[in-house]
Amino acid sequence: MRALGFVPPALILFAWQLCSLLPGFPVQTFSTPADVMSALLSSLLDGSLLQATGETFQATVCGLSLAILFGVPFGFLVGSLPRADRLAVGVVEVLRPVPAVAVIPLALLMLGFGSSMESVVVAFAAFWPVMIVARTAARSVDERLVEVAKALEFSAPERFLKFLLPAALRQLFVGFRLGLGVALVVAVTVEVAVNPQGLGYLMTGAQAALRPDQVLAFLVWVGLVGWMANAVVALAEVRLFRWDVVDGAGR
Amino acid sequence: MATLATMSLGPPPARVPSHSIQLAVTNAGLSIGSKCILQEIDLEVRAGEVLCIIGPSGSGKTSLLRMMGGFIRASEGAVMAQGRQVVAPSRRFAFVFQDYGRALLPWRTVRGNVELALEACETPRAERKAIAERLLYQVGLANVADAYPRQLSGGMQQRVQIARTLAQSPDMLLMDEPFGALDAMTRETLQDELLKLAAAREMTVVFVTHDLEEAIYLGDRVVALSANPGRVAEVVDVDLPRPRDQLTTREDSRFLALRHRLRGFLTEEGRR
Repeated sequence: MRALGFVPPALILFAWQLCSLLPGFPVQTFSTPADVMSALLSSLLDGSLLQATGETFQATVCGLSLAILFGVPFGFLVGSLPRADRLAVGVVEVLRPVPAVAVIPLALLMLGFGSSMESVVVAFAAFWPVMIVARTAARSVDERLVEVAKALEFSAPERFLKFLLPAALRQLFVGFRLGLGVALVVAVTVEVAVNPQGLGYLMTGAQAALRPDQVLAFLVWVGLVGWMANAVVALAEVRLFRWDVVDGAGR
Repeated sequence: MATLATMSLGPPPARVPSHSIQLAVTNAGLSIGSKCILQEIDLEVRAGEVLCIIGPSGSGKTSLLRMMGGFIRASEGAVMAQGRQVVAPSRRFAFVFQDYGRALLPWRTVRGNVELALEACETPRAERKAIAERLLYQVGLANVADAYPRQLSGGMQQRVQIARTLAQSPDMLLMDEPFGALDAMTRETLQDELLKLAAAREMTVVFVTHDLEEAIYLGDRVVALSANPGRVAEVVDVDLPRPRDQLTTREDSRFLALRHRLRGFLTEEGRR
């Protein structure tokens, strides 16, 4: 059944290749599947694509880690203390709608070009989904489990480690996945907009050099990288949460 | 010596001195807001007995049990255990929740759930596995120690919870309609297993149920609550021989007489 998913892209590629044979097809701006494929292969072989991928990936992972480092404790705090929630709500509601791209000038002023600036912008964007999921997770811990913890006279730190954290982890992981998606998008955006590194910069370079085959090749590559990153996380999820997927229905 | 006198409605029978009192509820009341849930509750739990609490819905039987377990504080009066007021849950009084599905940690295996209580008791790490497996063997779950709770049937999940409470070596089990959500056959099996375990460990059991026959079958005494507000309407001694048997005990004329006697407390009349 999974193979079925490969049929539409194959058909599209085939139709695209056929169209490119027609007179009047804008080869100069749109290229053909065969050219795109050879551009992809040559960039892979000369190492430029892998290096750029590494740069983008590094900023994504650093940014996401920062978002988790700050977002999870903050989400837990406001999720479990209603007073902290009320204190934070004003700041959160004003900062959350700020587009990540709008943070770039400030980040540039403070950190200049480079991967630390990019990581900070990524962290800003990924912080919100991670924090909000952590807040919800802290709020939705089953009161029965809290009673079980009390009945067994566990101390507060033990209650956190044995009950709250594992109970929240399932939901937190959903936040991590959402955060990863956002982080990758924002990292490439920062590179396209200003930062001279990574996949985004490679694409703007190809555009400036009037190489539609390369632009498209990098676009396909970004899609593949995002898909693979998500697949790795999904695999980890199945491994980590066997208890949640083992029941007959499989969810 | 089964006479009607043993189940008469008069004053409670003279207390035999050998009964030590494990838990005493004295003149306890519970109000939430302006609503009075429980009023003037006087009740003593004797060491080693199985005390069943029945009552129509709204009679506050679960609230009473939660008060005994230290989960909620009485608005008036007190719950005393060994001369001290019960103000918080204690490992000595193990609570078995009705909703086993929510009371088990889904991310821990069956054995891991039992070991949780051993961790609470600070049992040395090296001994936990063996103790947990012995308890699981006792409740008939030795072969699913590595399964996760969600893979088990309801009856098996409730057995896991019982094994977990046994792991904390309690003096008393406080059970809140533990078999209420199970099918009839599983319920009967678990009733018999509970009686065996309680007898073997000389454990005191306070058992809340809305099933009158279950209360008589399990109990040494049955407390009937009336509703709105919840009060002790009746305390009845169950004069049925042990060990009990699902067929013969339930056909015993004394069983049937008790059923007749107490039935009114579960119907509309019981609500007054």
